[in-house]
Amino acid sequence: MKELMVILNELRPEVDFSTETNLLDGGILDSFDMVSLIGDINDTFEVELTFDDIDADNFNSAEAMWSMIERLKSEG
Amino acid sequence: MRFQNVIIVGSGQLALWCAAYIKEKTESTNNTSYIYFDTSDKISVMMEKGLRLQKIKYECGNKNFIFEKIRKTNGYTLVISAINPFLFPKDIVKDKKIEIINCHQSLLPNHPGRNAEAWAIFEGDKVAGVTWHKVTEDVDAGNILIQKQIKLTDEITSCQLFKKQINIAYKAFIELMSEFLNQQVWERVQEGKDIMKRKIHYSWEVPNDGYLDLKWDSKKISAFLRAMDYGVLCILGYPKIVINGQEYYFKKYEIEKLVQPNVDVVLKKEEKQILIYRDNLEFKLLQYSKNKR
Repeated sequence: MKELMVILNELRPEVDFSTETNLLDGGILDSFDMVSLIGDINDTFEVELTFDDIDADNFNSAEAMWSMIERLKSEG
Repeated sequence: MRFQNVIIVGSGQLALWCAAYIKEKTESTNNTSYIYFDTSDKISVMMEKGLRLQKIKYECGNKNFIFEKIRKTNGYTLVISAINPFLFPKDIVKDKKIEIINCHQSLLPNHPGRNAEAWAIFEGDKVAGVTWHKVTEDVDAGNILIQKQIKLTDEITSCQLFKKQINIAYKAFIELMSEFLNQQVWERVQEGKDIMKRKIHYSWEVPNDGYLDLKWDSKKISAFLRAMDYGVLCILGYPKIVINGQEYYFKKYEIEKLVQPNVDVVLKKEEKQILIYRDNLEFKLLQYSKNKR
């Protein structure tokens, strides 16, 4: 989770990712953010996310992203 | 405003920003504005969220659906094409009631066609940019309305350049629209290249067909890798290399400057990486796999 927070804070330092729960639905993260974010998550956590995985359930909060990463890692 | 309708056709952040700007302008008048986009686009999910959030009127469908919508508009119509992959049919382009402007990711007349940012990097251009131009029957050949330049560094990738282009294209759009919506603006004919002899890049074309050539010098290898690099969007596919008759593709790369040039080794294939040494640069090709030719 700590590594994910580093990625998110580097991406958008002005956003409080520890409390924000409307990142995608609220338009806080735009398409460019998503391109960078998916690339960084793939590189850091060795998963293979694509644009098809963009879903509010997975990206509306840092916690939701972490759950998705853990799920993908456990699926191998 | 001299247009009864304003239609935005395109996808991604630029189309969204243009639509929000036009919505604001048309709200104060009785004009209508709509944005149409293609649902097959990878980022259409993001697009739809943004449009809903900003309460922008939109419809999505395939290109024929979009073209029919344009044909059916009544009154003088401005069509703004922003990151739109489709060529407008002749009947729409020739329609006197329709004026079409397009944002192209290069300093026209350079690099007409698709993925212009990648070609600018691959061909070692020092300067890239964006052009808003009138749409005519020939691809990216219409008169220039406004251009903005971006200096290219030796590190920039297609993905990074594209992002810069979108940001500067929107700035240019606001500058242009401050006059264009109300009056004709000065147009510049594309000069320097014969329109009929231009090399147009099509969507299926990839720098050097996607193959890293081991005969290239360090500058060209770097330019190739950065041109192919659209991050996770992977627009041009994965770059490839042929070593001893075997073709490999690779998903990642790193470029490092060496303190001392490695003159003894030019190519080294290891379990997890392929290393190429040229001049004072080390190219690491990572996450590589065999490709069936």
